[in-house]
Parts: sequence; structure tokens; C-alpha cells
Amino acid sequence: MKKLELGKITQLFSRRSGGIRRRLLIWGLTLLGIALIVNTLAGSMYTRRLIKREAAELQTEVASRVAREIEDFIRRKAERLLDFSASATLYELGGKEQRLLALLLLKNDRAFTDVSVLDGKGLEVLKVSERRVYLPGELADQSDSAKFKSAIKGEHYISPVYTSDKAEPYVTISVPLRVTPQEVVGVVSVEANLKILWEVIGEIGFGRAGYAYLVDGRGNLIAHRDPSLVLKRTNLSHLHAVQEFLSNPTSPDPTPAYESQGITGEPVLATFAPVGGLGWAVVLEEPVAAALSELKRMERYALLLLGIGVLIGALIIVWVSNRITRPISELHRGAEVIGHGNLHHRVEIKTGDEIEQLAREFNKMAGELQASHVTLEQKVEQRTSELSALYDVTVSVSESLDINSVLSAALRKVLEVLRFDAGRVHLLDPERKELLLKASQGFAGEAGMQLSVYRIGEGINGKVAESGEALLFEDIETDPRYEQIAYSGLAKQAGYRALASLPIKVKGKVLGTMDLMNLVPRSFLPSEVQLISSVANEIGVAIENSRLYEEAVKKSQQLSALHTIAATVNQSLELDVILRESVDKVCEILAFDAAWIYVADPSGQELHLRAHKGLSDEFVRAIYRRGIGTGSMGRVIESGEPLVYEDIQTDPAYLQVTAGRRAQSFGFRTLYNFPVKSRARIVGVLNLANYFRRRFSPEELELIGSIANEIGVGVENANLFYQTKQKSLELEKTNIELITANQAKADFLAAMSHELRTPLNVIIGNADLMRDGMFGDIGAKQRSALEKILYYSETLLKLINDVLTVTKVEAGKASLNVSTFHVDEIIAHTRGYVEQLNRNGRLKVLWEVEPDLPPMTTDALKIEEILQNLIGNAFKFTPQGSIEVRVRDLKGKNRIEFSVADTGIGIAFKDRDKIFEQFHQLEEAHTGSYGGVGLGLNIVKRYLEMMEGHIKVESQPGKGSTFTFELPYSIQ
Amino acid sequence: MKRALVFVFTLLVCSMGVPEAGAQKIYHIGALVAEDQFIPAFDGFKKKMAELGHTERKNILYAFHNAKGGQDNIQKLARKLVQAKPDLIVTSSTAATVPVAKLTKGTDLPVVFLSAGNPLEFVQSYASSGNNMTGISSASLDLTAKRMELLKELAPKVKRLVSLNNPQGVNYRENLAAVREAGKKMGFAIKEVNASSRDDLGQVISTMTRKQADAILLPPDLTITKNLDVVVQHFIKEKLPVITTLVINVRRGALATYAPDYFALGQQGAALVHKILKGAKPADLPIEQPFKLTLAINLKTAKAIGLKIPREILLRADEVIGQ
Repeated sequence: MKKLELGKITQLFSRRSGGIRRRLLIWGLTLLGIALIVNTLAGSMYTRRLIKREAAELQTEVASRVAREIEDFIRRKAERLLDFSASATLYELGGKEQRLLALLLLKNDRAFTDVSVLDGKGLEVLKVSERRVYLPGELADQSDSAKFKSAIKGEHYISPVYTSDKAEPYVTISVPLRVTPQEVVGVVSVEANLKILWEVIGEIGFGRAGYAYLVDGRGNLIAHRDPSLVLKRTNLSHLHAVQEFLSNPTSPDPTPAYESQGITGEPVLATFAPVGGLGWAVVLEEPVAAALSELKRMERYALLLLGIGVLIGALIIVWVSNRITRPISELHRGAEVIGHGNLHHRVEIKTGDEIEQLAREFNKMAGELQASHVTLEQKVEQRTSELSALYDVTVSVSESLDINSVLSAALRKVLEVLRFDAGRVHLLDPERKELLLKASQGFAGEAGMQLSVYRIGEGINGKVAESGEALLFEDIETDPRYEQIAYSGLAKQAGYRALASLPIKVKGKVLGTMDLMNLVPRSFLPSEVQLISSVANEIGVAIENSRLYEEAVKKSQQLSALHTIAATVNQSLELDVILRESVDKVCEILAFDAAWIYVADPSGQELHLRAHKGLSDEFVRAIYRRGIGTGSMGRVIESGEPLVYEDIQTDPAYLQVTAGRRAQSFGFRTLYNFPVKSRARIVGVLNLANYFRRRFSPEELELIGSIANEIGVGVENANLFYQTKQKSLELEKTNIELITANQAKADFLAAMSHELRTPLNVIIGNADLMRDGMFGDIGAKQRSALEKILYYSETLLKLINDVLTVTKVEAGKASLNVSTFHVDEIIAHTRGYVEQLNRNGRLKVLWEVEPDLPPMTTDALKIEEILQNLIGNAFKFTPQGSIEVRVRDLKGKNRIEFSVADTGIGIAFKDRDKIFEQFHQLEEAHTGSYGGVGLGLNIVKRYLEMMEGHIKVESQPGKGSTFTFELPYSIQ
Repeated sequence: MKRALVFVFTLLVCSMGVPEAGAQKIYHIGALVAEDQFIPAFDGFKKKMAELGHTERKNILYAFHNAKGGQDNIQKLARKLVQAKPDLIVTSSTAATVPVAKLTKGTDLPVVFLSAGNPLEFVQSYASSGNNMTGISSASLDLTAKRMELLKELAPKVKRLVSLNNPQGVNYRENLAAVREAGKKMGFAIKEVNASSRDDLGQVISTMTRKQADAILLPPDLTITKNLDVVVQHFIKEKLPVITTLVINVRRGALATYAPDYFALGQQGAALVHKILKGAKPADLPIEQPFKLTLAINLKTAKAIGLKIPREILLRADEVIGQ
């Protein structure tokens, strides 16, 4: 335990030590870093501003210089041209001398490539070129050109820059030819190659990557170190610097440099300077990155210094943190040593600061820890002993579930472990509110058992059981409470001096008390009292477990009893057997001396003794029959509740209820009367008796009630069985009679039909022969009479045949004559039948038979008979209109569907189910309009059932009926 | 903790960055000239390069090749030059430039021609080559009319002009077209005579006398230039003025020319090379015209053929030989 705690302390120190150094480093470096970064940033910003300002100043200076150079260049060209002009005026316009002068001008100034002399009207009179030859015919009229118009007015003219076909930049410069300051006689113009400007501009470099370019008054690029940009005729008016220039082209001063987008799209520091008088501007740009490259270098140095500063700072912090953490580490090591169990170890730190104070405190704490460690070990030893005792008691109480064994063993262990001389355990009877002595140990002789019963609140044990609180007497000789509370003073008399009486409790409920005694006075420490209480509680738990065990055993026995009774009851349906077995089992299981059962007779006026056990013959004779509503059993039947008499010898209730008091007279003491119920009806009374006084718990009474109910169920079942048996016998007799009668009817009908058919056939045969004139000629009236005889005879024959058929089917004598045939054969026969039937053409008969029907394997004649019956009915009930016979293949079902539809009188909805019954006829038939006895459709239905088919009918009264039946291709 | 310190230190070192200035690069320049007459261009080029800071054997190395006028030799040297993979190639003359242009076509190897009579042979336009080349036009063909004008000023009576050509020369067609056009403009009767070798030349010119021609116009052609001595000797003997396209030919006996100075062209080309070495792309550098044209007169020859040079011409002349 201690090692664990010290280990934690060690870990804590370890973390703290590392944490201090880390924190010092983090915080120190952070603060130092922030300070240095702020300083570096401030320095960088200041330097940046300084560099930008210097760069801007440099640019402005360069721009001004370059602009001046360009201006001077153009000015010199113009002056040279003016010189030429002054010389040329001395000679004839376009003359040889002027040509020579012009050629010399080209030779001496390589910037000029072409020279023209124009007269006062703008006509070219002379034109020479460095590279081309101009013949007189090539001289042109330039009077409309700007160079002429400007110069003839006495002004100098400089054209916009243009590029030649050889991709070189040019301007046209023209000056007037003055004879006198006022008189202008012509114009001299030159084409000046500005490539030199490209060189000038291209060679301009300043700063780290500064460059220049030249734009004209429209923002077009004139010169740039990359000539391709000029040749592409790049317009730069979108650039900020150029826009500034274009907005004020005449401004003489260069603008200050500022940051904007450059010609290459990157951020630049730009400025411009106008080229005076030409309307051009020199623009200078320097990429900001290049301009500030020096700054970058300085920033790197600053960063290096920052790093060095941080590094030095880190080293200092490490050194300082080591100074701080070394004694802490020493403390840590000391904690580790102590943590490993060496409590004699002490830390030696002489820093003269708070850590030394901490070390002193640490050593002091270690000393206290050492001292407390010794005490703690003693306590642990004692506690271990107590816990061991408690464990021993717990083990001993757990070894058995027998309460007496448990209490004896537990008490013995308590005395041994807690060093008491004697002890007793009393358990509480909650009903009697008495404490009964259950165990005693250590008493000499019978001293411990002298007083075995205490009432609640009586004496020390009674008080403890009542209050649930322990009573402790360290010395009963001197403790005045003892005299006040003690009931008998037996402990004192036996010589005991110390007494501890403790309640035995479970879940706050007092189960009993435990007394522990010593022959010498003894002080009770709280820990001891707590231990004894714990032991008492363990005993309580053991008692409770034992009680629960006993209850469970008892419950199990009861359930077993109930099961046995139920099994007995269910074994037989004979009432007397059930009752006899029941009383036997009840006596056997519940240990009754006698049991007897009364069952109410069918009249409900008397109770008859139906079974008994343990009764003498004399007693049985005396109680064999009892009137309902009298005596104790009468009360039970009346109330439906049991009556319990613990002692009928003395119980006034019994004496008051019973008149004969036979049970009392035969010596019984305990008597129970239980109603025997079945479906909430009392069918009898179960009586149980003992020759001794006996008390049952509510659970036991409940069990007896359940047994009585089981018996009731048995009585009810037996009664029902008896009644059912009687009914069955009656029905069997009736059935035999019915079968006999039916057979007689069938035999009669068969015989009668057969006997009727024979003479009828004779009548028909002879009448037919007579009608055909086989017995001589007959007159019209005779013929008519014979026709009627034949018609009614055939009708009668049909009727007889139908009756015979139905009779045969009912008698099970009809059978199927199965063969394989084509449906067409049946249809052909049926057509013949229909033609015969419709020989007067009263109705229109339609046939719709699907071609290629599969062959059928069933009774063909019966199908024909069914069709004839249905068609015959259709004819019978269709005064006019049509009959349609349809046959189709129900391929998915492997069946063939036949239907007969007519446009006759139809069938009312209520009759549809009845028409297939025997001898059922429609109301219309009864009127005499339609013949028949109502057997045809019954035969149809019976035949179809035999052939695994079924029929349905659809009909609308007044519109007609459709009978549809289907049959399988092949009968199974 | 130690790892953290190492990390911080590493960060610092990284933040310092790599030193900016590395070892100075030495450029390798390959040079090819077709004939001795073009050597001045290379001389001018080297001189100007040195002025621009490219000192030979210090930060630039030249591999110079002279084909000495042999066409096969030019091809061979051009191949050798390209295979050496220099940083840049300079050429002089169209004859030397054409094979180099073919061998480097589609590559990034910059080629700068210090002179080319007809640059449109290998570039898209004067504004941009559209490929790996740039350079200086010698404007030889552009100045054909100016030379005829000069001839007329020197010998106003000249009417019949013999145009000597080499059908196998690289400038043959373009030169012929330029001569015809200029002759027509200037009112000369042009007689075209072809010769492809020294022998041819000897035979062809041996038949030319003052009876057939008033003057001779030489083309910018390698073979004819190489064999100029034959031409000059014959026509001095015949007292016929010879106008050439090269200043050096005037020094070698031809009467006159109006042409660029190759030394100056070389200097002009050096500026282009300098820009390319600084990072410019050849296609972004327009083909330049000669900055300076030279009017050269050989007074000795004039005297030999009995021609008096007008004073105005002498005043305008940039170079007068035999003065």
C-alpha cells in the first residue's frame, strides 16, 4: 500500500521535474522569441521603407537623366537638321549641291537614313537615302503630310515613332528652309533611326534588376530592352505609371516612384519622367522583389541573429532550469528511495532557498511516514486478524443450512475468535413475540439454558430485540443499568462480569439476539463492537438463508403434494376412484389422521360421503349423508370459504356451529373444512382432521385449498365424462337406426326405379311401334294421344333414371368409366342431342369450341350427361333467344372449361346455392310452366365431384344464366 | 529537448538560404566563317564581347572554324560544331549560316549570324526569326541599286553591265532577281554571266572586253570572292570598272563598293549574343540592319583603268584605298 502511494509521489515528482524544465524552455523561448521577432519585424519594416525610399529616389534620378539624354539626342538631331537647312538655303532647291549636302548628312549622322527637300508647295525636289535610290520620277507631293504642314509654318515637326519594313524604329523630323527668319521657302525632312535609343534604353540598368522603357504620347512602347515588345506594337496605357504620364504629359518633373503592376505583370517600383517637348516618357521599373532583395538578405541576417538569440536563450534557460531542477531531482530520487521502502533515507540539499525548505519538510514528512508506517502495520495486523475472524465465522455459517448447526458453529467460532467465555443465541418467534433460546456455548452445566424464553421488551434480550440496538456492560457488577434492565440476573449469578447483547438483524429486521460474556470485566472498543455486530449480521444472514432454505424445501414438498394430487385426479375419470385416491394422498402427504369428502347429490339437497380415510365404520355410518346448509359444512358451502378449528375440543366457534359434534366425539382436535370448487361452483367439502392440536401456516392452508380445488376439477371432469359417455351411447344408437333407415330407402328407391322402368320401357316401345304404324294405320287423334303417351312416358323414364342415378351415387355404387378421348367426340354427341331437342328450331344454338383441344382421360359419358343436363335445363328455361355452348382450354391449369349460357328466365340470387340440392326447383317450375323434379343439377354436381371438377353459375333474373364447369385433362 | 534545439538550429541554417553567387559560368561559343573575308566579322565580335565583359579564356571560350571557301568543308565543320554542343553558335555569311540553321532546326541552341546577305533564307521575318536564330543582315542585296547608282556616279557613261554569278552559290537566285530589278530601275543593260569555279571564271571572263561590257557587277558569292584575283587582274587589264559587295574586295583591287563593314557587323552581333547570354530568346530579338554602311573606293584601280573619281564621291567615301 505504502509502496504504491510513494510510487505515485515519485511519478508526480518525475513529471513535475520534466515539466519545470519544459515550461521554462517554452515560456522563456516564447517570450524571448516574441521580443526578438517584434524587434526583427520592426527593423525589417523600417529598413523596407528606407530601401524603398532610396530605390524610389534612385529611379527618379535615373529617369530624369535618361529623359534628358533622349531629349538631348533628339534635340541634337533637330539642330543638325537645322544646320543642314541653313546650309541648304544657300543653294538651289533640289540642286546638285543640296544633294551632296544631303548625302554628307547621311554619312556624318548614321541616325539619318533618308533626307528629303520639299519646295514651298510641298513637292519633293530632292530625296536621298542611305539604302535606297530615288529617281526623279519617284519624287512625291507631300503637301498634305504633317511634316510639311508643320514645318512650312516655321515649326519643328517630330512624327510618332514607326517601324520600318526591316523592323527598326524611326521618326520623321522636319524643319523649315528659311531664306530669312520670316521667309520659309521649303522644308527639309529626315527619317531618323531610333535604334540608338533602343540601345540607350536597353542598357539602362539600376538597382538589382531595374530597367527602363520609352513610351510615346499614346502609351505605345517605343523602346525597350526587349525589342520584340516594341515590334509587337505593345500599348501600355493600362499601366499605372503610363496612365499617370498620359493624364499629364506636359509635366516637366519626374513622378516619385511608387508600387504598381509592371510591364511583365509583376509588382514593380515604378516612376516616369517626361521627355520634354517630344510628348514621350521614360518609364523606369524595378521588380519589388529585386528592389527589396537587399532587405531579404538583411532579413536573413536578422533571422540568423534571432536564431542565435533564441539558441543562447535556450542554453541559458537550460542552465537555469538545471539549477532549479537538480535539487528537485534530488528530491525525486529521495522520494523514489523512500517509495521503494527505505523509510530511513533523508535528502541532503543545501541551496539556501525554498527548495532547501522543501527538502527539510520532505525529510520531516518521511520521518512521520516512518512512524505512521509502524502504527499502520500494527493496525493492519489487528484488522487482518479481525477480518480473518469474520471470515471464519462466515465460512462456518455457510457450511450448513441447518439452523441449529449453524448457530452452534457460529457461536463457538465467535467465542474463540473474540475471546469470550460464554455465549447464547435467542431467535424471535414473531407470532408469539418471544425470544427462544437456540444455541448456547461455554456455560458450565445448564446455566446457559436456565431461562430459555424471553418476551419482547423483557430483560436485556427483550430490550435489544425491541430496540434493535446492542447493550454493552463492561462490568455488570458496577454498571447500574444491568440491575435496572436485567430480568433474571442469571449472568451475574453465574459469575460473569462483562456482557454484550447484540441484535441479530437482516435487512433491518431483528431475527434474534446474541449474548457474549466474560468472567472478567472487559472494555469494548468501537472496532470490537463493529466486528461483533458484523458477526451478528453474518449469523443473521445465515439464519435467513436457513429459513429460506426450509421454506423452499417446504414449498417444494407442497408443490410435490399438489402435483401428486393433481396426477391422482387426472389418472382416472371415475369419481369414486378419484376421491378415494385423493383422501389417501392428502393424509399421506399432509400428515392428517383422517380425511373424508362429501359431494353434493344431483338434486343439490344433500351431501353424500363419497370417500374417506382414517374413519371408523361407526363414524362413517354416522356421517354418511348430510343435509346441505347445516353445521360447519353448511357454512362452508354457503360462504365458499374454509373453516379451520385448531382444537374442536375447546373452540367455541366449533361448538356453536355444529350440532352433532361427531368429530369432537370421536376424539379429533384439529378439524379443517375446505370447499371443493369447480368453475366457481361448490361441488363438495373436504374434511381433514388430526387427533392432536395442530397449527398450519397460511401457505399450508393455501396448499390445502389448492388440493381441494384440484379435487373439484377431478369431480367436474368425472361428471362431464359420465355425461358425455351417456350422450355418446344415445347418439350411437340413433346413428345405427338412421343408417338402417337410409339403406332401406336406397334399396327401396333402386328396386322401385328398376321395377318402374321395366314396364315403362314396354309402354314406350309399344306406343312407339303404334305411332310408327307397326300395328296398323292410326288416325290423327290416336297419333296425338300416342305422342302425349310417348312424351310423358319419356319424361317419366328420365325422372326414374335420375332418381336411380342419385340413389346409386348416394349409395356409393356409381363409378367412373375412365377412357382417353377427344373433346370433339363429346361435342359431336351433344350436338346430336341438341338437334333432337331443337328440332322445331325454337332457339338459336351457338357453338364455340376451341380448336386443338388436348385429349382428356376421364369418364366421357358422364361429361355428355352433364352437358345434356345443363343444355336441357337451358332449353327448359329459355322461352326464346339463344343458347351458347363454349369449350376452351385453361392451359395454365391443365383443365378444360365447358360453359352453357342461355338468355332464359335466369335465377334469383337467393336460389343460386340451392339449385344444386336434391329435389330443388325454382318457383317458376312449381307453377307448372317448366317440368322436372329437381335432380338434374344435383346429378351434375355429384358427377363433377367424382371427376375432380367444379361448377359455378352466373345469372341475372330475366336475362339468362351461364353454367360453367371445368375438369382436369386427366383424372388422378 | 536536444532534438528541439537541433530542429531550431536546422531551421536557422535553412532560413539562411543558399549563397547567391555561385561559380561563374564559362560559355562555350562555336564560330563558323565561310572564307577569310568574313574573319573581320568574328574579330569585331570578339572585340565587342570583351568590351561587354566576356573575356576569352576567362569566362568564354571560342571554337573558331574557317571553311576556307569550300562548300563541303562548310557542311563538315557545321556538323562538327553542332555536335560539340556549345552554348551558342555564331556564323558569318549566308553560306556558313544555312547548314548550321538546318542542323539546329527545332533545337534550343542559339545561333547568331554576324552577317547574312539574305537572312530570309532561314528566318521567318526581320521582326522575329520564329526559331533559334537571330543576327545581322548584311543588306548586300538591298544595296544593289545603291551600288549601281554609285557606278553611275563614278562612270556616268556606263550602260552595259555584266552581272557575274555562280549558279551554285546560296545567293544566286536572290542576287539575280535584285540585279535585274535594280538594273531595270537604273536603266542598265544587264548581261548575266555564270561561273561556278575558278576555271569557269577564267574561261568566262577571258572573253569579256570593253567591246562587250562597260562595267562588271560582282555578286555576294563565296567562289567568286575567293577567286577575286582572277577577276580583278582581267578587268584592270580590260580597264573595266568592277563593283563588288564587300569592302575587303575593294582592298583587293575591285573599284568600289557600298556595303557594310564586317568588323562593325561583328560588333553589332556581339550585342545580340550578350543579350542571349543574359537570358533573351533569339526569337525575341529582331534581325538587325547594319548600323554603318561604308563607301569604299580604290584609287589605284581607278587610276589603272583610267577613271577619274569625282570629288563629291571622294568627299562621301568612308574608305579610299591608295590615297
